[in-house]
Amino acid sequence: MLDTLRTLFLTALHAFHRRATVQYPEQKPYLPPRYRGRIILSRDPDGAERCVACNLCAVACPVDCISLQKTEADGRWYPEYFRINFSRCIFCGFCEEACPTYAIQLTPDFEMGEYARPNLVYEKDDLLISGTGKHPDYSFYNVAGIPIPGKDRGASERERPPVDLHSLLP
Amino acid sequence: MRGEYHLACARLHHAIGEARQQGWLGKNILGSGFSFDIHVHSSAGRYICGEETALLTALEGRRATPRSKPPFPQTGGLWGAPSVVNNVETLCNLPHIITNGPEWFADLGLGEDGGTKIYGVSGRVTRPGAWELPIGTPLRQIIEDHAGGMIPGYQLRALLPGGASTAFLDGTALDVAMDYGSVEKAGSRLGTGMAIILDDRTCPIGMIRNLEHFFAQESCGWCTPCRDGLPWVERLLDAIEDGTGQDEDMDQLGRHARMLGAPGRTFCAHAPGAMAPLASGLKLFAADFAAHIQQRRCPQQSGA
Amino acid sequence: MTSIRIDGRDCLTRTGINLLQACLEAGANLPYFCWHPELGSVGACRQCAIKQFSGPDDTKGRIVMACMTPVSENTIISTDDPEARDFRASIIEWMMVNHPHDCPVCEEGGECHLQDMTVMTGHNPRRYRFTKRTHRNQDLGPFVKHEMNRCIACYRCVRFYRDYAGGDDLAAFASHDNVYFGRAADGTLENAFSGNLVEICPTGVFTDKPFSTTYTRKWDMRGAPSICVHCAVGCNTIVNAREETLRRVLNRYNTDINRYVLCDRGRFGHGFVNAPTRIGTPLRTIGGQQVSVPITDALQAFARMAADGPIVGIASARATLETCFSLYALVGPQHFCTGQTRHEQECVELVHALLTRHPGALPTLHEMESADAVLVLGEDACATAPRLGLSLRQSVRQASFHMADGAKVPRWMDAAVRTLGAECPSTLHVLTPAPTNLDSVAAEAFRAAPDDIARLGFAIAHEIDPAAPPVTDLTPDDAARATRIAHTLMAARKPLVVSGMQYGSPALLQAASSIAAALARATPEAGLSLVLPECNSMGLAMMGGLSLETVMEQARAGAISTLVIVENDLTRHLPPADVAELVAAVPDIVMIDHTATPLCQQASLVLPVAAFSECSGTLVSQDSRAQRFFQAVFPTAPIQAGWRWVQALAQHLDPSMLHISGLTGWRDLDDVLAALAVAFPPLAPAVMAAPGADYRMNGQKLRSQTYRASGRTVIRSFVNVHDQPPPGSPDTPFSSSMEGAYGPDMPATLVPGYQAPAWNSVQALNRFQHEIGGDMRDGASGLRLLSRAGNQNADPPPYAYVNDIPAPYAARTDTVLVLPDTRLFGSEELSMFSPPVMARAPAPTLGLPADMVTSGRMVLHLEDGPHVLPVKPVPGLPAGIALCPAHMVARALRFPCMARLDRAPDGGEGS
Repeated sequence: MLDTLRTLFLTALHAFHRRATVQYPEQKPYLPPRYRGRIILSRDPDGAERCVACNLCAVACPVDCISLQKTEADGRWYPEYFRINFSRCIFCGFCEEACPTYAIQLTPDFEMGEYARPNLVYEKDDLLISGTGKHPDYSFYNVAGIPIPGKDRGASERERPPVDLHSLLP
Repeated sequence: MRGEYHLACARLHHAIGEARQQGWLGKNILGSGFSFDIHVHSSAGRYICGEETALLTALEGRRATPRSKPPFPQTGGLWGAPSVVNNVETLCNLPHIITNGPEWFADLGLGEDGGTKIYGVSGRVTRPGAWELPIGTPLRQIIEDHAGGMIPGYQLRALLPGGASTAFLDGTALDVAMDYGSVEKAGSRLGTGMAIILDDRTCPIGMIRNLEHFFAQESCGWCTPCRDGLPWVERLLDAIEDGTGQDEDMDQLGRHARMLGAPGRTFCAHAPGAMAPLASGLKLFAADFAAHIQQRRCPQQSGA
Repeated sequence: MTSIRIDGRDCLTRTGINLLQACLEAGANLPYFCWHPELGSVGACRQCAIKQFSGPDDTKGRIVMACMTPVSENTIISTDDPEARDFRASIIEWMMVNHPHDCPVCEEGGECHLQDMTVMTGHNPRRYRFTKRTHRNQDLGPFVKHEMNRCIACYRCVRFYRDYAGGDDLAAFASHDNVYFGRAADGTLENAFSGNLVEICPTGVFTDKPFSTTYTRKWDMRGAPSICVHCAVGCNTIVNAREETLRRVLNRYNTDINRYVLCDRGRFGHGFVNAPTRIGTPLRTIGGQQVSVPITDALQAFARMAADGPIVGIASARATLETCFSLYALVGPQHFCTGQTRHEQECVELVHALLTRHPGALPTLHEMESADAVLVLGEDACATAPRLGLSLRQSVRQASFHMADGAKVPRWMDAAVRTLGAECPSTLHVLTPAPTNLDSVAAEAFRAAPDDIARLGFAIAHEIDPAAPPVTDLTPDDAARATRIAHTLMAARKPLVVSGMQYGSPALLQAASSIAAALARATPEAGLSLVLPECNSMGLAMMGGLSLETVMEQARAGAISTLVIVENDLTRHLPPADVAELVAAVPDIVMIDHTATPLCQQASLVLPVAAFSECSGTLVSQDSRAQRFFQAVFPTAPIQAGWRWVQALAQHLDPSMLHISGLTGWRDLDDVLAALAVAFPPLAPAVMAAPGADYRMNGQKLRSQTYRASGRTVIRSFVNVHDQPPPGSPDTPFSSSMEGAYGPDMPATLVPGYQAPAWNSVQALNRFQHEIGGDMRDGASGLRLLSRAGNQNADPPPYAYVNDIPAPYAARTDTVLVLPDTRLFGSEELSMFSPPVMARAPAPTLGLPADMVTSGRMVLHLEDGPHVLPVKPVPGLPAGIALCPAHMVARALRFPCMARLDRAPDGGEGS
C-alpha cells in the first residue's frame, strides 16, 4: 500500500517537471542546417540552374524515387524534367552526397504533408529554388571543360586557352 | 632531312648535283655495272626523326613516331624492306676504312673503340666548337686544349658529356676517356660526343628546365608517360625556377626520373634520354633545388 | 596450349597470343587502352604494364607491356607486383593531367573505359597542380560528336578509321601533348563506319550525336539483343530503351558476322522508330481523310470488308518470318504474294537456288576476311552490304599476315605487320560498272556493263573448268583479264566470289555461281556469297509466293476484294501508274505498317505495327542465317507485332476462311514458330535460332535492365502514383525489369548488353567470350538454314553450268542504260525516315561517262516521267550507261532499263 502511494506520488511529481512538448506549429523545432528534409534543386551564383542531369542522384537513390531526362541548351546540360516521388523518398541524403554540382540539396524543412498521394510527386518547378542553397560559391561549369554561354573553351579554372593546331611553332 | 633544315637541304641537293654531274650517281656508274642513287626527302621534321625507326616512318611520309622492334630495320624497315640506318658521321668513315683497311681504322682509337669521333664543346669556354679527334681522347684534353678551357671568371661546375640526353658529370670526371665504355662506367653516356658545359654562374635548375622544355616539346606524343609526364616535369621546374616550387615537387621530379628513366616503360628512348640530365641533376644539385624552394626564388637569378 | 605463371598461379593459355589477352582470359583484371582485339597491339598507352621474370630465381624482374609480349613457355609474370601497380596508376595519373572535370556532363560516363581503368588501377587524388591543355572541337557531321579535351591519345580512333576501315579524313595532328584527332577542317566524316568511333573511343571524345538528344545513362536503359533491319547481312545489334522509347543501337558481337563493327546505316538508321512519320493508332479513311479510330472500330471495319470477297495478302521482305507466315496462314498460298515484282522474285529465288547448289563453302563474313583471293563480280558491296564490304577489305591483308608469319612477327603486332606488308600485292579484283570504295585496295578495278561483266565471269569459269561453257567474241584484253583472274583464283586456298542483286542481272548471279562451282572442284573452301537487298529477302524466298504482277492481274480481273499489305511500300516496287491501277481496282486496302509511307495514304485502313525494337521476330540473312531479335520497348496499345495484327484480323473472320485455322489460337511467338515449322519444313530450324520464351537460367528469366536501373518508383508517378507491375514479355525469355538472371555464360543469342564487375564499358564483352575475339561463351548466334551442298548428300550431282551467256553490251545512241547507283544513305527505305540519315543522304545526281557530260543538268526520261538532275562525270563508267541513285529519283526503279537522256530545257548550266 505504501509502495503504491509512493509510486503515485513520484508519478504525480511529473506534473511539475518542465514540459518536453514542443507546441508545434506555433513553436517550430530547432533543425540544424544539415537536417535532411525537403529536397531542392539550387542554382549557380550566376542564377543558372546547377543540375546538369548527370543522373548520379537517380542511381544513388536507394528507393529509385528520382527520375530525370537530360537536354541541352547552348552546350549546357540541364534536366528537361526532374521528378521526385516524395511518397517514396526516405530522405537519406545519398542524392545530395552523389551530386557533383551541389545542385540537389536537402534542406531543414519537413513540412510536406499532403492528403493526396499524387501531390507528393514533385516536378522541377516544385524543386527548383532561386538561390544557391548551402554552397554559395560553387559553379560546376567553372571547373568542367565544357564551354557554356559566358565561359569560353579553355577558360575554366586551371585551363589553358585552346591549342592552335595551325601554328608553326612547336 | 628534317624539313626545318632548309640550308642543309639546299647544300645537300647541290652536292648531289655535283656528284651526278661527275657521273658518280645513277645507273651503271662509270661503267661499273653498279647503280646507285640518292634521294633527299624533306620530312615534316622534328627531333624525334633522329630515332632510327621514326626516321624510317618519316621517310615513308607518315607521322614520325618510332616503331617497336622486332622487326628490326635490317629485316623490315622502309616499306617493310631490309634497311640500314646510320648517321652520316658513321658513313663518312666507310670510304677511309675501305681504302686504308680496318686495322688502320682500329689503331686510330686510343682505347677499346676504334677510329675517330667528332667531339664538341659548348658553354662558356673560350673556343666552343667541334673537332675530329681519336676516340678515347680524355675529356680534359678536349675542354682545355681544344676548347681553350673556361672563359676567365667562370668555373666548370658540371657538364653533359654527350649532349642533352646524357647524365651530368662533375669536375671529378674530367679525366674520363671519351669512349663508350669509359663514359658509361663514369655514370653517363658518350651519346653524340657534344659536351655541354655548365659553369658556376649559370643556374643548374634553369639549364635543366631548358632541356626539359625542349624534350617535352619534342615528344612525338605516341606514349603516355613521355607525352604527359615530360610537360609535368617542365612545369615543376618552371615553378621551382620561378620561386613557386613546393617540397612535394621534388618527390614528383624524383618519381618521374625513376618512372620515365627505366627502360621498357616508354615506347622509345626519348623519355629516358630526357630523364638523364634530370636524374643526375637531382642528385648533383640537390642543394640548389632546396635553395630555390626554401628561398622562393632563383638564388642565381640568371634565368638560363 | 601452354602453361604460364600469372601471380604465382599456373594458367593454361593459348599460344600465339599476347600476355594481355592471356591475363584477361585467365580472369585477371589487367587495365589497357590502346589494344583492341580487332586492331591488335601497338604499345602506345603503356597501361598494361606487368613485371616479367626471367626465371623462378629472378626476384627483380622487369616491366614489360603485356600487350606487346608474346606468350611463351615458362613465362612468369606478375600483375600484382607493386612496381607494376604503381606504374599503371601513374599512367592514369598522366592521362588525368589534361583530362577535363567533365564526367557529369559527359555521355561516356557510366560506360567509360577510362573510368573503369581509373578505378581498376586505384589512382585517386590529383597531384598535378598546373594547367590543362584544351582543344577546340569540330563538327564532324550528324552522327558523331567531338570533344577533344577528353582525349587520352590512345590512337584507337585513327587506327580503326584509317587502318581497319580504310577512311582517310580522320587523322592525328600536331604532336606531344597537343596531339589532336580530327579532320583537316570541320566536315562530315565520310567513312561508312564512322559511328564505331563511339564504341572504339575509350573516353567521351567521340559520342553518339543522335543519341545525345535523348541521352540516358547506360545503367538506366533496358537492353535487348536485336538484328539490324537495314540490309540482308544480318548484323547483330543491341537496342537500348528508356521510358518505353528506343534510344540507341549498339554493336552486338557476333563472331561470324559483324564482330566488333556496325555500319553507320545500321547504327543510326533507327530514327524511323520515333520519327513523326510513325503511325501510332489505327487509321480509317472516312470522307476522304485518314482518321484515328479505336481498335474495335478498325477490326469491325475489316470484318465488313472481308465479307465482300477474296482477301489477298502482300508480304514484305522487310517483315519478319512470323509476320509473313501469319499472313500466309490467313490467306493461303493462292492468295499470298511476296510483295516483289516478278523480276525481283526471280532474282531472289535464283540466289536461293544457287546457294543451295553451290558445292563449295558459304563463308561467313569472318571467314571472308581470310579469303586469299576475292572476285567481286558486279556488286557494290560497300553500298548494298557495307559490313560485307568491310570484311572484303580485311581480306586484302592476308598476304601481309603470311609475310609476318615468315618474319616470326605475331599477327597481333599490328604496326609491324602493316610495315612488313606495305608492299604486298592485293588479290582482290573488283569488276563493277561504277567505282566502289574497294577500288583503292584492289589489285584491279575494272569497269564494264553488267552483261559484259557476266560474260567475263563465264569466261573465268571456263578457264577454271573447261566443262563450263566458253564465251565467244571476247576482246583479247578481256580474254587476258579472264585468264589472269582465273589463275589468281585457282592459286588460292580459300578463293571467294561475291555478287548480288544490285543490278538485277540473273546472268551476273549465274556467272558468279559458275566460277565458284568451278573452283570448288579442286578447292573445297571456294566460297560464294550473294548479296540480297532486304533483311528478310532470303526468308521470304524460302516461303515463296505470287509476284506483284500476278496480283495485278487478279486485281484487274476483279478477283480481289481486300488487299492486306504488311510492311511493304509498293511504290518502291511498282511505278506510280501501276500503283494507281491497283488501288483503283481493289475495293479495300489494309496497310499494316509502322511508318506512313506514300502507299499508306491510299489505304482504307491502316494498322500500326511494332517496329523491330518493339516486338520479337525472326529474320533470315542473305546467307540463310536465321536470327531472332527481341523487343526492348513495350509499346502502348494499339501498337503490336505484325503477326498479332493478322491474328486480330483473323479473329474477325469466319474460321473456314483461314488457310491455317490455328492462327487464331497462337498465344506467343513460340506458337507461331511451331506452326511455321510444320508448314514450311525448310524453315523449321529457324525455331532454334534462339531459346524460346520458356528458357530459364538458374530458374529465372533473364533480366533486361541493369541491376541499377533507376527511377522505378517515380517514372510513371505523374500518370499514376501507384507502382505498376513491369510489363509482361510473353514472347521472350526476358523479364522487362532488373529482376532476373544475367551473366557471361548466358546464351549468345540472348545477351541484352555487356556488363561485368569492374567492366562497365563495351570492353565487358571480353568476359563474355571464351577467347577474346572468338566465340561467345554460350553458343553461336543464329542458325544456318542452308548447309554446304556437299554435306547434304554423300555424292552430290556434278554442278550443272548454265549456257545462258548474254550478248556483249553495246551502247546505244538514242537511249542510255540506266543502272541503280545504290547509296549507303538514301536508297534503303527505313533508314531514310531517320533524321540523321536523311541529313547524310546526298542530293541525287546522275552519273555519266565523262564524255557524255555536256551540261550541268540533264533530263532523264524514266517510266514515271522526266526527271531533271544535276550530272557528274564518273571515271571509267562505260559508254552509254547512266547511274541513277536507287529509289531517290524515281521511287521505284525497275532495272535494268533503257531511258532517253536530254539536255535540260534551260540550257542546263550549273546545278
